[in-house]
Amino acid sequence: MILCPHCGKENLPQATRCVHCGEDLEELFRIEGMEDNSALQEEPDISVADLLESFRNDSIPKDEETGSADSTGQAYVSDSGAESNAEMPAEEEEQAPEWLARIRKRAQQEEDAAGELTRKGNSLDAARSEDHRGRVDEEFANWIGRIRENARRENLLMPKPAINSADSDEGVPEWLRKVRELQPEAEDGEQFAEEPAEEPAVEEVEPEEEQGEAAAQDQAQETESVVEQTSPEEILGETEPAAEAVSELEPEPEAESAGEKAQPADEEDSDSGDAEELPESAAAPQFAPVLEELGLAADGAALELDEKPASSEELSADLLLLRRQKENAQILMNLIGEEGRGLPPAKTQRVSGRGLYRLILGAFLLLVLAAVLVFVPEAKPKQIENPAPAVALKDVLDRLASGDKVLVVLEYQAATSPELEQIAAPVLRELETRGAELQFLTTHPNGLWLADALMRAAEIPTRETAFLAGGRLGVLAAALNSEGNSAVIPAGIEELQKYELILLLEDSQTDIQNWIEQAGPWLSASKLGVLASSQNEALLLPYYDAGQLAGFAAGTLQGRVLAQALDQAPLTSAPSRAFQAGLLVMIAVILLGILSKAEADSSARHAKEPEA
Amino acid sequence: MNPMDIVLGVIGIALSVMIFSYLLGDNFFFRAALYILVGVSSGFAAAVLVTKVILPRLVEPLSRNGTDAFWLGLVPLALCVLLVLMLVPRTVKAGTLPLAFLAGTGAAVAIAGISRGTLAPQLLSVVNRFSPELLRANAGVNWGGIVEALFILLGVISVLFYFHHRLSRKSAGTQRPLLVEGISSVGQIFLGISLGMLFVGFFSAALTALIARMLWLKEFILALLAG
Repeated sequence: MILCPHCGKENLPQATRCVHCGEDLEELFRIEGMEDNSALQEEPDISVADLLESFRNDSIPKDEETGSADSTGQAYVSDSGAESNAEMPAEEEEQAPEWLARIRKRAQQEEDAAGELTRKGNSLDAARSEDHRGRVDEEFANWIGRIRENARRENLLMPKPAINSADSDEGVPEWLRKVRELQPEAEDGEQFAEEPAEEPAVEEVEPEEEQGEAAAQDQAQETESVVEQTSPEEILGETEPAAEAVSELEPEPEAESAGEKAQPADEEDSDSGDAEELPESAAAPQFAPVLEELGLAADGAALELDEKPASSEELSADLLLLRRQKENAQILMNLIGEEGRGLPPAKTQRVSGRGLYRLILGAFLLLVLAAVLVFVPEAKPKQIENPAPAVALKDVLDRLASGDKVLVVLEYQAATSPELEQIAAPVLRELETRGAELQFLTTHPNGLWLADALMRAAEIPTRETAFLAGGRLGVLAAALNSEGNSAVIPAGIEELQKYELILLLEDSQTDIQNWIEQAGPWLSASKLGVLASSQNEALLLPYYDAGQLAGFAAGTLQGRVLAQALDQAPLTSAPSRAFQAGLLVMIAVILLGILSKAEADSSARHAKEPEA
Repeated sequence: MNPMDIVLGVIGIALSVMIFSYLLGDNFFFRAALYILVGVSSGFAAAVLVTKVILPRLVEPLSRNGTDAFWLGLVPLALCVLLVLMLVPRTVKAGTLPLAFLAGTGAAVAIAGISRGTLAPQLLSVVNRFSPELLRANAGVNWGGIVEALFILLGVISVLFYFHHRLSRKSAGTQRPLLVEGISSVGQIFLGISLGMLFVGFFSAALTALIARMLWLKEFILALLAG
């Protein structure tokens, strides 16, 4: 591998220009042992013809000197004899550079060591005459020039940013000069990376470019090696038709220059780029067979023929197009990989300090509750005014006699079980005392084991709890089970009309509404009683006022009132003090929130007033 | 206190502390406690459904070959098979039949229940408050009942105004008349009171649960210390 003197990246030994930055590689055809390459360095744009010319000049100094002597009439005589001829190789050996001497020596030892290129060049020199040599070189140079011109036209056809009036004299857009000023140390190629107008071109040539930069490098280097290893005569013999075809397709220089100026303006329009591509697309099939004959793949001809770019900017744009192409291909692959997967969770911007406030408030509430539970003795319950729904439920319970069937429906979760057990335990104990026939039913799987805990808390004999599946549909089926033989209703559960009271233990509004809406219309109003958690009180009141409920008790406070009305002791260790402390803490927090919100609104209002 | 109670109590304390750790933000322990809760609940619910529903209502009837229960049991069996086919991507559409049956039936039952169990009774309740018999109860005009009925009527109308014109303002972006704006503001007050009552109810329930849990922790620790 050889290193590019411009960008310092590696290239193949036979590369004529850097595939990374487009710089011409001056070490072209570096031969091992060759030290003095100043002649090549002076002419970086060296071509095969020039190289062959240099070989020819080095190999036949005698002829040139003879010619020159004849012309000047000086010292050297052609028939000076074998002595002078014998001395000439020795002099040449001394005058020839070291690398040439090594080549000659190796060529004498091994014929193939002279190399394919040198052999072809020697045979070429032997084959063609002196007067024909110049014409061949001229034709070859013309052919190379056409190829370069074709490559330049390919580059011109690539979408480029519109050149507006702010462009400099060199055709560099204003934005690009600003970018260069901001990033003076950036790579030359990267100066074109942010070009927005290249995006459509990236998509258009995507199938060709998906091979990546490595494939593009290989193609470019293979093309150059083909050009280098092909002798001018072979090229001429095979490419005369191609040259004619190229010359036919080649537009006039004036037209090209006009096209260069008009193209960016056309590309500003949405569809004018397609119209600009039509001549190129039409010319491509005509190029294809010619290039195939030359051994150049037609699909990559546009890039491969770019032996020497018209300018370093165009070359860099091409290379960066590959880089952008690769990045877009990677993005597309990532998108395809993400297809079908769930959306990532939305990243919500957290307000700084909110977690700290939550921690402080939560810890404060816990500390207050713990302190009250540990240090504050439980106060005696006060005699409060009985709420009307609880009194109505107490009246219903008082009407129950021994043997009356009561269906207890458990529809609460474990989290609310302490509250519900405090409310329901005195009632169940009262029903057990009255001799009512209790049956337990649940529509939640959790109710199966919560019912056992409730019976233990109420200190009543444990009974089996039936499970009613189906939710709302199950409740409706139970309400419509007029004959009591429905297969949906669990065994032991009779027709709902036969129960004197259906006591619902609820912590969910949905479950309450299911029973009121599905079973209520089929039952008399005096048969539905509810013991609920405190959060459901607001929902139950309208139903009670409308006469759809016999009565209810929501929350521990009403539960305690109901227990006192039934002459039943509420559950021990009811933490009324802790409950009051918790409410006070929450009231304080709400007031603080109101004040802070009002202050924030006031600040915002004051901030807006000066603007108005 | 037997060893099993101690073990279960320690597990309960650990889970409670893991839940309380949410005060420090969403963390591994909080999520682990949630996953345990969801996993245990799902497993228990699945076991209950198998033993209480699938075996007695699907498998047992199908075991009685030739009976009416057997032929009736084929219907839920077929629906179950169609649901299971949803696991295969090519036969996902087959599962839409039982799902459509369930959704349609549930929607019909819900609409019928709401209209018959909530809308009609609540509407009649508001209207009945203005019945002459009720207003002339107890041998005289019941002014308290009249005020209460008017107050309820005002609440119903103002809340309806608020919702209706809030939606229309969103869609049309027009300025509402001053009277409508005032009635909507009254409706907003009613809504605020209702939502405040709901909040108090939710907070009371949560506070009761928290106090019960802390009380249990206190009693457990005291029992441990007492030996």
